[in-house]
Amino acid sequence: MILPNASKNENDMLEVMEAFKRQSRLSNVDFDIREHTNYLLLYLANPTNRFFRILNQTLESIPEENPYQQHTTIKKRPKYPSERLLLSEVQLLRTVLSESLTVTQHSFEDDFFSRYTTFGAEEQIKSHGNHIVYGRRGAGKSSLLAFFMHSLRQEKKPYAWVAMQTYNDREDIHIVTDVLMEVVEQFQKYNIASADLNKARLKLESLADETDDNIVENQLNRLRPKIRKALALIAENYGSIFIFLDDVHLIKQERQPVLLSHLYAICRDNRTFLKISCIEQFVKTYEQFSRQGLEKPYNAQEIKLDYNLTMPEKSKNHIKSILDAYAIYCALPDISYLCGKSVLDRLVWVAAGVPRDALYIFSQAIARSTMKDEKKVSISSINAAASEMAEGKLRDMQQDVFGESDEVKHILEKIRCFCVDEKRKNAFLVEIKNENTLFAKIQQLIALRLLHVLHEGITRGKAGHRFMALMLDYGFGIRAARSVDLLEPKALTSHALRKLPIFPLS
Amino acid sequence: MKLKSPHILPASSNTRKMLENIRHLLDQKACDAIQDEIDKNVKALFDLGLEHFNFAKQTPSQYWRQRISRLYYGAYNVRRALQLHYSGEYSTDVSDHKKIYDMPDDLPNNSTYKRRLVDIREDRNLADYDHSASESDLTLTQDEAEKIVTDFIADVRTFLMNRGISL
Repeated sequence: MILPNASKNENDMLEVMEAFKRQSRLSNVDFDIREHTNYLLLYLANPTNRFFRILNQTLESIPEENPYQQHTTIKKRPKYPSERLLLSEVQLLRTVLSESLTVTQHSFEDDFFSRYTTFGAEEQIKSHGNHIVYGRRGAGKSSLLAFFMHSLRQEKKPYAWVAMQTYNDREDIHIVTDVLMEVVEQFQKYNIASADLNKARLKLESLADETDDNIVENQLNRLRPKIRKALALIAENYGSIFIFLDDVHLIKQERQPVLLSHLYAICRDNRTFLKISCIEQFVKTYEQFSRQGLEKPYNAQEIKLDYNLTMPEKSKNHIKSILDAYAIYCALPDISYLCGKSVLDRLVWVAAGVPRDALYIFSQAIARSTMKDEKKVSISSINAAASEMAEGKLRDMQQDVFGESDEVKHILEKIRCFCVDEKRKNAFLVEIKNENTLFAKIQQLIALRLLHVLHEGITRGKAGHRFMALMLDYGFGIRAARSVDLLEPKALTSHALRKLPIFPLS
Repeated sequence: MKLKSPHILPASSNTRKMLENIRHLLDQKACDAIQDEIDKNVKALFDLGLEHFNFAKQTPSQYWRQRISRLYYGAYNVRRALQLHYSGEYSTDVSDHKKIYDMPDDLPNNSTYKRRLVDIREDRNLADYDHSASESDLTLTQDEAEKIVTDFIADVRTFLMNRGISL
């Protein structure tokens, strides 16, 4: 960008700054000039190696005639700005938080590791074994799979990634055909056994129009050994290969064991391993009657990724470390630069320990606090942002609960009436009865983050009767209902929980 | 400045390339002897850098010109040790100062050091040659410069030791 009325020196400076802004994605950069040496200083709250790399790349693209090509550097802001939320680093953080809400195999690509926060399950997922990763929506299942996938990508090791979102709502047998086709196509690029894989792909393509399920099943069964043999050649060359299936719960439950069965057949004893993510309450990995699918723990081991409100400190530490990683990525010292400790406590509480919900709420709260001219993110902005999340969660319900969303919604409303209108509480107890249909639906509401577990099992009264303590999500007008006696994190003692009203299962 | 012959460093413009290209003529013992001699020079250059750095640290801050100058030479010689080991390059030419930017991609925080060492070089020129300059004209404060050189030396030390150099 050249300004006609600016001096050559100003335009030279502008050239460097515009290029740096483009590469760093910062909307603005505070700067200064050391007049004696004509050195351009760009100010960031926390200049990390990543930003120096961006500056070095920027300067390499600037012509040598520009004196700032040699005379530009980054410095830490000399003092804390009073209006931190207006910093371009914070604007970048909002953008990055919003990008992080959906993790796919392409998320962040080369930048993945500089944003990733470990969960403690990384070594497990990298091991030679089949794994099923469980967790609520937003718990970090896809991130964990993506962590391993990016590690393989860096090491140039073969893998196939299937996003099951593509097959959302489907229940036909051709889910298997299509998933196998994706797997085969992705492994073809490794140029080993590609002729065999190509034959398999053509055969799978020819099956696409077949309407008789039995014929398709039969053909798939016949094709499996051929695919297995081709994958064995790739695995032999590279030591092992991996197939990622992200969000398997999105296909109809009856089809899940069938698909997993076919995939297991091509992987077993073949140095080929399955890494699967799903929401536990919406998945059936094994069908006892037909003996199809992955039987745990023999065929696959499970990894549970759920810090919830039963372990608030762990949840808080995990969410804080994720937010810190994003803050540092955006040239901020850490997340406490933008909020106090009590704000983070509140964030973890209203997000019920779900990392993605916390990121979304925090991002929205930045916008709210900025609008209110607050110096830092406030608790009231966190509360307001959490209250607005309900709609999104109800949308998730439509996707995750096949054909039963009205029923689940009805049960949620029943619980809401019981808590808010009748008992004036935002939390309640429910007896643990695993065979009870209503209890199963309540489990689904937990998986959908509409109810949050405060205690996995406490006793009250009669021996042998155990209760789960649950809290209604903040998004259901609870804060607006002034008459409700809100359970606060500090009141989370067993004594206080035992006093909660019991929601009847009959 | 010339090194007194016989010496391993003037034997070639690049010791790494030299060793790669004579390996087929020599037995392993002879190659190891050459490598040992190169490694000794890596250590000597690193120690030279440390000497400048330690002198800077004990110099009172009122002598800002001396401190900045010695801090730069501390970093410069440690970087020479790094380059001699990593790419086989060794130079006594004045133009070598312009290459302060060159360092291995796998050195931790290398992007920061690339830029910061250039900043310190500019400050050193100002400190050594510009009679009209005052301390406030420096790009980096004395503390900032000392911190970055301390970190650089620590990272290079770990890097070299991990690659088998005894320091």
